[in-house]
Amino acid sequence: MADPQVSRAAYAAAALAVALGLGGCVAQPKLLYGWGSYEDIVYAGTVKPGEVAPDVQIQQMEKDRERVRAANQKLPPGWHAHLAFLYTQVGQGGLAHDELVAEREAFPESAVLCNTLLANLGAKVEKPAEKAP
Amino acid sequence: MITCRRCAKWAMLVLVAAGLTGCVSAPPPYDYSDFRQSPPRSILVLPPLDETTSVIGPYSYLSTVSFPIAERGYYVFPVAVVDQLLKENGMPTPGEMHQVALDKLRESTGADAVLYPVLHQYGTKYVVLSSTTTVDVSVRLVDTRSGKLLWEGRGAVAQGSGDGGQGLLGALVNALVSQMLTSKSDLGHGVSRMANVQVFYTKGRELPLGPYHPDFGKTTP
Repeated sequence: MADPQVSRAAYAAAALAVALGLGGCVAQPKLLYGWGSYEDIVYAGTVKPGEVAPDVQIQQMEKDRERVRAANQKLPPGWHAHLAFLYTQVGQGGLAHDELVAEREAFPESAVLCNTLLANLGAKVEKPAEKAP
Repeated sequence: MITCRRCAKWAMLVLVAAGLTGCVSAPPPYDYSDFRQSPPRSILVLPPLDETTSVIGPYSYLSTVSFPIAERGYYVFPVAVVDQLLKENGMPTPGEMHQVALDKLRESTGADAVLYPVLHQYGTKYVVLSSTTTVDVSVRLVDTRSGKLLWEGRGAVAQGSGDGGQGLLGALVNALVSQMLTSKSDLGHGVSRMANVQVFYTKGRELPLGPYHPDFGKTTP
């Protein structure tokens, strides 16, 4: 199977090239983000819920994170918040918290949503720090 | 002689072309004045309203729309997270989500603008040995402060089974399909991406570049 990271980027670049009317004549435009399989993960979670275990989706996203970092690219908007959403599903409140903070730091536009989600997370999951006597 | 014949042919072509353009009026240039007045930084995409009979269409399309908007330079809110948040707040369907007041959406997410997609067609029709996959989608981008329409676009693509493996785009879309995460039988998923190229990149009426794009502010629109 083709490397999803590479094929996604190639497809995206080709789509952009076609859209810009460049065809094959000009170098492929550079993408702003390393997408990995983010949109396919979203597909799995919303179009066929229950078919792909959240653990499997998380593993894929963590693999993508390493690849995108290694390629010196940025993760796209929403990526960290989506991973937080998956970590919440498997009861990993601490990791979910970290990803929401990462989303807010990478994209300040997400602050209101991330604060809402962090507050919800606080209500759903006991944070270890708050367990102190 | 040959040259003259060619001249005549060219002249005829020019006349035909001129005649055609005379008959078909060119679309008026897109009016970006409302967009220019309050250009958004962040865009919240809602799941599409569904005018189709496809069960998977709306969410399959939703999973393709973050890419073009983010690559145009905007912050795109995580589509599945937003969907879940709205569901938890008593809005189980896209129809109900599209009815939520703009100030409520702004208050809970901080979004500058909301993208409302409508899926007009989605799916594959099989005729004997061939098939055609069609995706037709329109989107409206609305300012969460003023309620004004900032921009709208539409894309309709019909992809025949014969074209599938031939074009560069078709080949790449086919190569892309990861069977574990998506469904190989859902041809509309790949065609949605092509429709999005029309929606967001059609020259003269494209979504203007946003602040995260390196060419933001350098080009018009």
